[in-house]
Amino acid sequence: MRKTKAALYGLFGAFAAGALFYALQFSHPADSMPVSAASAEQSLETLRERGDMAAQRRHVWALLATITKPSQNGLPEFATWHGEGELFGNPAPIHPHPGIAGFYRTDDGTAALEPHADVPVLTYTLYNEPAFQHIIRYRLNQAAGLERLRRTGPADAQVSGDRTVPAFPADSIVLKTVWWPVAPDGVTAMPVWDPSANPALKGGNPYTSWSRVVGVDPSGGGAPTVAVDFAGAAYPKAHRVGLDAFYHVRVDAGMARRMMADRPTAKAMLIALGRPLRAGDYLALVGVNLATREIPEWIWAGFWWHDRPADSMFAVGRPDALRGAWRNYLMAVAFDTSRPAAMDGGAHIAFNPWLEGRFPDGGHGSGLSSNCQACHARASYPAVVFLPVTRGDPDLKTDRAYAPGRLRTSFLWSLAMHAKTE
Amino acid sequence: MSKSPKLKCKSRPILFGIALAALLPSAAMAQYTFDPNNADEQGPGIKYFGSVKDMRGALIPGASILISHSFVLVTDNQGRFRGNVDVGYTADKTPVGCSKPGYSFVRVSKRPGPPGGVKQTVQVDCVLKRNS
Repeated sequence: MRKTKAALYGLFGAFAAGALFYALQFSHPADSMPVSAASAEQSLETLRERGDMAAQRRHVWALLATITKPSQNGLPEFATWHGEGELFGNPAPIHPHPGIAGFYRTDDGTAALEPHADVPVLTYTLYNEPAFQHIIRYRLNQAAGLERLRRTGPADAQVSGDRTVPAFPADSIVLKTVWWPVAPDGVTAMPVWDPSANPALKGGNPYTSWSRVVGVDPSGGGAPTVAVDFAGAAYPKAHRVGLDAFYHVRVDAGMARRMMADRPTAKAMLIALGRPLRAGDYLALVGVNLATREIPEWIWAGFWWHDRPADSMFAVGRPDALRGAWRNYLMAVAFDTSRPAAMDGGAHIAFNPWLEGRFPDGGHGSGLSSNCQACHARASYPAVVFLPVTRGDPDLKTDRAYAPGRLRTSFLWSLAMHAKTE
Repeated sequence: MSKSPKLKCKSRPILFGIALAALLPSAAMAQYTFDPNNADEQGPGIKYFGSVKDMRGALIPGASILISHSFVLVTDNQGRFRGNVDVGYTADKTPVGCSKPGYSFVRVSKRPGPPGGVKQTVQVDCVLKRNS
């Protein structure tokens, strides 16, 4: 009798421990989110369903105002966040610095290959504390962690036969920042995206193909126009802009060394400056892709700098709360892969010219008809090629990214593509 | 006293070897040659290669070679470049150029490799002039 009781207790204990383990490992914070967060999600879902672009834009502008507010140390909030190097650097950095100042990217194995004639730009992805802690907690930055979830994780609600990573907290934010180097002396040419002047090219519209440049002059003086050359073209009357028109940082020796050790970044520096990046140069923030996990599909927005920031449909709704250089950024938003319809009547479009403009037309349109959410919905492990651009709802039947047996990485390509293998 | 000439005699081939070793890498870098055993040569695409020089014939590092404005390669420390471009960007229908901040474009020559090769190649040599 005692033995039976002990066995029953043992079984119960094992079951309870197992249930607790499962709950801890795979509980979806969204399932148990506070009422206020749940109602916030519901109201955002309503904006998504209605395709209410004006309200969507108001929401995202307000987010930008929040993450760019000065933090306790005077830096904008987002500049204090964890950099991708902390998650994916292998080995991990010993003394990681937040933001772009902590740029750290280790060889992903492609450096030894023959260079492809791509047109890279300096990017660095930042994770706020909730997103960072979630990734660490579930080892989502490690291939072994992803592989375990691929085999034993919770079933994905949308893609039959796939599993998913545990749902991120609703207050998770991930930013992909884009920077242009500026020499401290003289004038540095910098391309500017004018939609009407850059029709879609079959091979994509990388920044070397853009029709106009400005001259960035840290001295802050001089005539309104300046003659500059860029990418084989002469611009005798480029608009001269000061460095204070951008959010910018000064490069120190450590940043310069680490950035020049990254092949794509080094190439981007040579294209822009014609020489390696060095201490004393500046980095001007020219683009940001923002993703917040306020709804299960995340809310997506692209921001890019412009020298005529009031004169665009992408400026609509910019609030007074945004001050200074932050008023010089334009914005496109996606709450949904399809809604509201684009001007051509097709699925909704939202892209960042610095990041997606270069994507070639693989049959469904180029990067100029892409949608952040439609692309990131394909993010899954093991990684697949993220091109070609797809438009609208996912093709669950034939797209390899949705094949059974895969792990959905909650719309984050960075997990699927950069997980450490150690 | 007799050791010095002996040493000198032995050091000659060593010095020659060191000099040769120093020259070999730059000689290898100097000109692109197809190597079928190189993994880089196995993939699809067209191999663009060549150099960028100034008006005096000095090779220019860190210059950009623009291929149809959609593709960019940059010159290495020896002023030479090579890299893959997507199939379809053949020499006959692809404009090429080169640039570098502080320099002006002078001329570019473009020469397709022999037809029927394992890998399609295009040699591009460019000249820039330093701005005064």
